[in-house]
Amino acid sequence: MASARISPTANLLRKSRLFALPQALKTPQDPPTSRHVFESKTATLPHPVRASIVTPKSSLARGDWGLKRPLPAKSTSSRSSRPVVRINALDTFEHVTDFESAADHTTTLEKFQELHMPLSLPSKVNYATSIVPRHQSPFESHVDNTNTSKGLEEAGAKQFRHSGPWLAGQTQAEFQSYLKQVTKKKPELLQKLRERFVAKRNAERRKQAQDNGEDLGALGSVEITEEEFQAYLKSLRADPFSLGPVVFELLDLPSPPAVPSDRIGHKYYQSPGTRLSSAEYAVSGPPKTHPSAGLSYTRSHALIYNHPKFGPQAYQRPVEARILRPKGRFKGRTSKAIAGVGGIAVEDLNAMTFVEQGSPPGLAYFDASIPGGAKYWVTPIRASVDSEGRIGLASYRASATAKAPYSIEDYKKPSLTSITDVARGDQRFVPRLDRTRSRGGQSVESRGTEDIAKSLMKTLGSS
Amino acid sequence: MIVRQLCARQSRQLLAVNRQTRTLTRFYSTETTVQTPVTARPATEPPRAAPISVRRDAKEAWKKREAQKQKFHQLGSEVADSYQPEELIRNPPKPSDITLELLLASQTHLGHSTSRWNPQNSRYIFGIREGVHIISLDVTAAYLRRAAKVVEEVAARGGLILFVGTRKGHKRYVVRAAELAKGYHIFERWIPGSLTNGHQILGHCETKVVNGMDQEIPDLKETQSERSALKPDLVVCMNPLENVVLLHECGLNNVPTIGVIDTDADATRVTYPIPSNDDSLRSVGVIAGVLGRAGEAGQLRRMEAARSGHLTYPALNPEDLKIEKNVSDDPKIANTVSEEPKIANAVLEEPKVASTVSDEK
Repeated sequence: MASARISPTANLLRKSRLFALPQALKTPQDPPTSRHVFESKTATLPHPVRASIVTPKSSLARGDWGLKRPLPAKSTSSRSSRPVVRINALDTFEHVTDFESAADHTTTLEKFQELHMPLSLPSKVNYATSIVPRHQSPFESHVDNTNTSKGLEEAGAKQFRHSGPWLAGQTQAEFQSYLKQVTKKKPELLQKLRERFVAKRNAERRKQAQDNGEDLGALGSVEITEEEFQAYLKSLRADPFSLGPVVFELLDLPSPPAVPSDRIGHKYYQSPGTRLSSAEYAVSGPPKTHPSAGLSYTRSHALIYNHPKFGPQAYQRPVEARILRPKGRFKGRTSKAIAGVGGIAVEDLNAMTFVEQGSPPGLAYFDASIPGGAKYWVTPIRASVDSEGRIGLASYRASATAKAPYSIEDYKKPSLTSITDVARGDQRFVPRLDRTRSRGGQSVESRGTEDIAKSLMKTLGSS
Repeated sequence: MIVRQLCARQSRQLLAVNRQTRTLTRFYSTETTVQTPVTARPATEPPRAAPISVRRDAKEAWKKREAQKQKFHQLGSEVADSYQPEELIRNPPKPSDITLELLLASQTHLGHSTSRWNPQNSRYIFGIREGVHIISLDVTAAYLRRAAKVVEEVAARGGLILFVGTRKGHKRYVVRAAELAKGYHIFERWIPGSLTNGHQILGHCETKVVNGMDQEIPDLKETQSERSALKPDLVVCMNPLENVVLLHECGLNNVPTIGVIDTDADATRVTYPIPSNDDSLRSVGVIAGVLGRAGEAGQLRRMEAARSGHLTYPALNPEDLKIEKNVSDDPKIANTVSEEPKIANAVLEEPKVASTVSDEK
């Protein structure tokens, strides 16, 4: 065995935690456009690129993170109660361990897990009908397959990974290099194609024999001459419609995006039906990670939330969302409002293009007068990770029934036309503004009644 | 029964009667209706008698809880072999405890950035990973064992061992190692010239004359006043890069040195290199602890030999000490294993600077 032959040092080092840290992923690329993309370099990446590291309390007090040198307390333990760091370099020329806080992604993960959302396969949310597509877990056995999984042999099984590259997402140079690789493998591929041809002919022969009522056991395998095979190749070359599926299956390529409608009349290399687990993957490429991205491992959202007072609830507790961008014209285009839910930017599904009544303040236009910034309550309904690794969250505005058990309400702007209860006059009580407010509402009430009782007793006694 | 029904009916009616309509209220209220608050709050209630019983109950409950806690504390699994950082100080590992696992856990294998390397260290280097040289664990273990042997033998022969660690955080480890090995330590700064110009710098410092059992002989103190400053017999340096002057002086004075050599350090600066990470406090703690333990073993051996009547080092002549007859007749000296006291454990102390602290016992 190879593992037995390596030296004890090598064996230990291989098993050590530091060496087990995964390699850094590539940072997400800028979109390939000629327009200038305005992006902050310090902005949180859409997905983590390096592993996050924590250390036990006793070691943290000494700055010991299991690295080349202790990390300074000033930027770790004295800045946060639960410091998490990611390492950019173990040691640099300047004798410095390059690290930074990884709290951005770990906190997002914690917040996401607090939403209790299962992850679904990505699917296009149709805004016109505002019907959210059904939840489909990526952990179901018929979609949770790679190109090497055993479950792929079942009928109708889908996969999220192919061994071949996604041609639609390749640059010219990448495609050329892939083409070179394929040309090198030509003899193997031809052999494979021959096997497929033989199998196809065998199946045809068997079918024919079955139709004619011949003895199936006496059938031998079909012998194929070189001429026949060459003729088959020639027929494939002549007809792109039949060559397309053969190419995709031989090279195990993920299916390309749908053929544009103006090409439908022409000849093109047809692809077989997609085997990718989600139709979105054919449009934007197969996912780089597992479709769940490890964010959540629950399969369904069939949970019941029990309220201690009101019993089981249909909706989970609503989550407060900050309005990042009100709806309206933005860069010359009308767009939906964007809200931040648990550190994830979400398009407001309910927002209509017209002016609506009773929408939370700050959603239609930017309002600086709202204390603490504009926020409203939402109920998340669907979460998925797209092929670039971004979390896609869909949420509805929390309904009144969802909010009622927790006695939460959207912020109401004091209107100039409304009259307060005090001013309306049906309340026979003038608030004492000069008295310091006591803490609990209940204690005020009880004292109030006590006072009333006492004053009543006094008046009775005096009379 | 009738009465009850009447009450129920009438009270409902009464309630209905009493309620004033909104409009009426509004018209009535020409003045603001202010509730008269009770201004004079009733005098503070007489303080209740000290609730002795309540306090006793609380005490009882607390006692019960403590007892329960103690009972439950024994339950559950025992966590063994867990890493306690403070154990490096409290109970440092012995040379026999050196394992590759211990060295790996204490990060001794992490060298410097590959652009910082000293090619002389190539024989200690296992490979490169993530832009950093990895020091071979088994080489570290072998060199550390050798260094431990050196420290032990020097201690067994009554040599002066000086532990030097001048980086931030080295202090406790170096002090502990010196304490175990009955040696000396520096944790702030080596004063340049302390060896080459020792007479000027340390000339006024105190020296101590001890007998074979390490007991001080104060009568001989005066005889040592014109003696030159003592030199260590072994210097253990935790960060050779910052202590080049010290190592150079040791080289000039034929003092053997042990040093922690990282991949960017010059291994020829020290006599006995220990290839290891010198930046991690944990690795320095392990190395200092092992060497301290080795020194402790050596000192034990020496004391045992002294008790059985052997001196592990050549004794000083009476002429050297200029001992008068009456002093050597002193019963205290006569009791010692050798009549000639050994001059050892000179205090390399610089009283004005706190950096060098003596370890007097």
